[in-house]
Amino acid sequence: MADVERLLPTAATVDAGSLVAGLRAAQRERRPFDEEVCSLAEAMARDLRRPEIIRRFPQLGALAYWLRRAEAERLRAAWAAAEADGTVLVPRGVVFHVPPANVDTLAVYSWMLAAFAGNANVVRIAAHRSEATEVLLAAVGGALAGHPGIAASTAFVTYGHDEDISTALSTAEVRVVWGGDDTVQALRRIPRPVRSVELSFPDRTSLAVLGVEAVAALDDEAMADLARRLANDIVWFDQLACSSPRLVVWVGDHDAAERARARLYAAVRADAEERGNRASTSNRIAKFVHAADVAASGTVRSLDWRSSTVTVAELTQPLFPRDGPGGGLLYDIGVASVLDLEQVVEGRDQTLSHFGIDEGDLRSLAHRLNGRGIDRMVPVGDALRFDRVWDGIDLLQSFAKRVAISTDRPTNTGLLTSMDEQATGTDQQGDEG
Amino acid sequence: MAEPVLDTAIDALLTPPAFGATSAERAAGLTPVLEALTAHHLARCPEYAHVTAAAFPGWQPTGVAADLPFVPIGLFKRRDLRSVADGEVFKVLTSSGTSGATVSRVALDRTTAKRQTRALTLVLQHVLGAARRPMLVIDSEAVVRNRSELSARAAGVVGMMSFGRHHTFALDADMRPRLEAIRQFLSDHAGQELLIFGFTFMVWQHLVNELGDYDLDLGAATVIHSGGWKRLAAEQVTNEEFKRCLRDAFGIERVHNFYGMAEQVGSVFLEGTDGRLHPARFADVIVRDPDTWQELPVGEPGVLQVLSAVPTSYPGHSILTEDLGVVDSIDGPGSEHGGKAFRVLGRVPQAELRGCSDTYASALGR
Repeated sequence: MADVERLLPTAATVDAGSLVAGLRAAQRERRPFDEEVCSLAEAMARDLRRPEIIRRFPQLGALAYWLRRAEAERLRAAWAAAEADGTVLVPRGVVFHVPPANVDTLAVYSWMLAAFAGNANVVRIAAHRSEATEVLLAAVGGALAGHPGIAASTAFVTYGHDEDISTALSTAEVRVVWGGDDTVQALRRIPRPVRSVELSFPDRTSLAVLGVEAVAALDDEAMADLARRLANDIVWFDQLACSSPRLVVWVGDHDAAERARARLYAAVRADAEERGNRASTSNRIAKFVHAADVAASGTVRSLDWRSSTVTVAELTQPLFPRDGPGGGLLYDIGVASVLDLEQVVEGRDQTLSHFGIDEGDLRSLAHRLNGRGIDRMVPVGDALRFDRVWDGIDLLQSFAKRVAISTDRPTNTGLLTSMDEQATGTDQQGDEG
Repeated sequence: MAEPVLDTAIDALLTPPAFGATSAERAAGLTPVLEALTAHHLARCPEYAHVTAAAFPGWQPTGVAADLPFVPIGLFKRRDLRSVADGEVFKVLTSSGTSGATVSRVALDRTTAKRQTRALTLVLQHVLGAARRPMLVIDSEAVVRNRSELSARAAGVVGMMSFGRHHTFALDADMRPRLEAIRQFLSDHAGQELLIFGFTFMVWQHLVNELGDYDLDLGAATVIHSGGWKRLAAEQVTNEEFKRCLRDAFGIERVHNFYGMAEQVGSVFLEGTDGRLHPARFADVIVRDPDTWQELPVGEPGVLQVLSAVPTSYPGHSILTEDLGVVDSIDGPGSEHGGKAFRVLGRVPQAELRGCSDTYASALGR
């Protein structure tokens, strides 16, 4: 027995094991992309789209946009397309979500993708909750109140690091763990049923790549627009999300890059000032300390620590310390060609935000990296936009099971006659699944 | 300034009187030494030279202390910065931070260690005189006896003990008052000037709160305390209240706080009778605006930068702290100290906790 505090759909202390059992029973009534789940998403979108919320928490505005009916329809189309070729997609059952505390909206993205796929869900919310998380929970609670079928198959719970509760909730068919690395490791030690699956998303880091020529060619207005998009990518989640860029790589002529970077960072800082995104004193000092530590190795050409918004440290070596304090600390380096990013990228690097780089060059880079780091390349400004394909995993499909349906039989043979043919048969099945 | 000249200039600053000169006189003596120290460390500590080149490009002496480069104090937690060969290092001070946090490492050679002692002596003799007084330590002997893990708090106590004699510890191993031992101490040394030392919170908790009702006459004592005001601020105790309680309960009139840090041991800022902290003439403090990092005028609170002529074995002569403070006056009328009078207003909010009195693991002067 392990009691856990349920926040939604109604606040109560419940037994964690019974909670999963109840959710599993309620899941029988759920169907992928049924009207109730699409209506629930729309209700949350309406609630979160209020100007007073979007102004204070732009990340909730992005979530609201993603929850619109049009987006649900797009997901449904992707689902239908995946069902072609003799397969039916069905839910997996109960999904246990462990979202990160620092990126509040991930709880809802993760939950809703699983709910669209027809699963029941239990979502663990950290005990220490940000204001944005409270706003989010209010919207979820409001929407659940009008959607009893989803409410019956959904639970938002909160607890500390309690192994008994985690063990009971891990009887779900799917466990989804969003980093940090410690959380991923801690939950991995907790057993789960043999037929269950786990999706884990450990700590990742990200960078941006800018084409010198393209940036240099921007007029002031276009520069301000690029700066606003880069600032967005940095400011959201205090630059501590997996997708937040921590390094900017300039591709092109060195001298032209000097001029372009001066203009861009001036514009980024002006944008941050204008929006009131000023770093706290302790954050300014923490950024200075982090960059000074790197500089002590002799690999920092200039360290612009006086800024009250974004601190920039220009590197002379492609060594990129990934444990920065967040809050607007950018390392910066110039390279001659996009393929030189091979010297910079590590396995843990996730998103490459790009501007002014040809798609062909990006594709060449992906081939050159050959799977070592970078799962995602998006335009600058979209780094934090959630996508159902994350860290190279299609979440929507991962929350579903494929039922393979075949009606044709091979014409020339009735029985398998040799081990070779058996092996071939297995391979083919594997390819389809 | 050539090296022997620099040495002579530092030693000249470490002679009495520690206080009394005007800010102009102080600057004339100190600023050239700090500039020479910057050049000294730039030439001898490659890491410091790299950081300074990146953060203060093209720095040249200007004759103005506020133009000197500085190192953020957190860098001492990440780097063992040395301006002497490893063979010259005879002691590495480690210190501070809440339990489990990383500690600062400060490499001392014999010259710097000797100057630390000299500096602390100069400052404390200003209020204690030259004679070593019978000393009551507001702590437990167990804290200093466990030499295998000499905590920063113990190091602070041991450092202060050399300013007294006939040491008596006011607390037992369980941090309970040793009332009889204290009474014995007072009768043994009746009629003499006494010294009481403890960390600020220990003095408040154990002396004021636990021994305040026993009619102990400690009027012959001068209290020296340090370690930060965080716990007392949480209990809404001001410096005035702190001193009033010591006067009312024990008849103690002479109470001096000091502010300093492990990264600049010895170079402490002493509280005068005006209730303000004062740099000795081998040290200085600058208040910086966290928006522009420019020096702030008198009366405006900001981030404290501390300067000291003492460290030659590591580049700690100019450090940006994570403390907030305000300069209340410069060469104020009737000031016995001359120069700046300032207050520490606490930590920069949300920075990593370093307060010693919170963890019973403190550094000298924290």
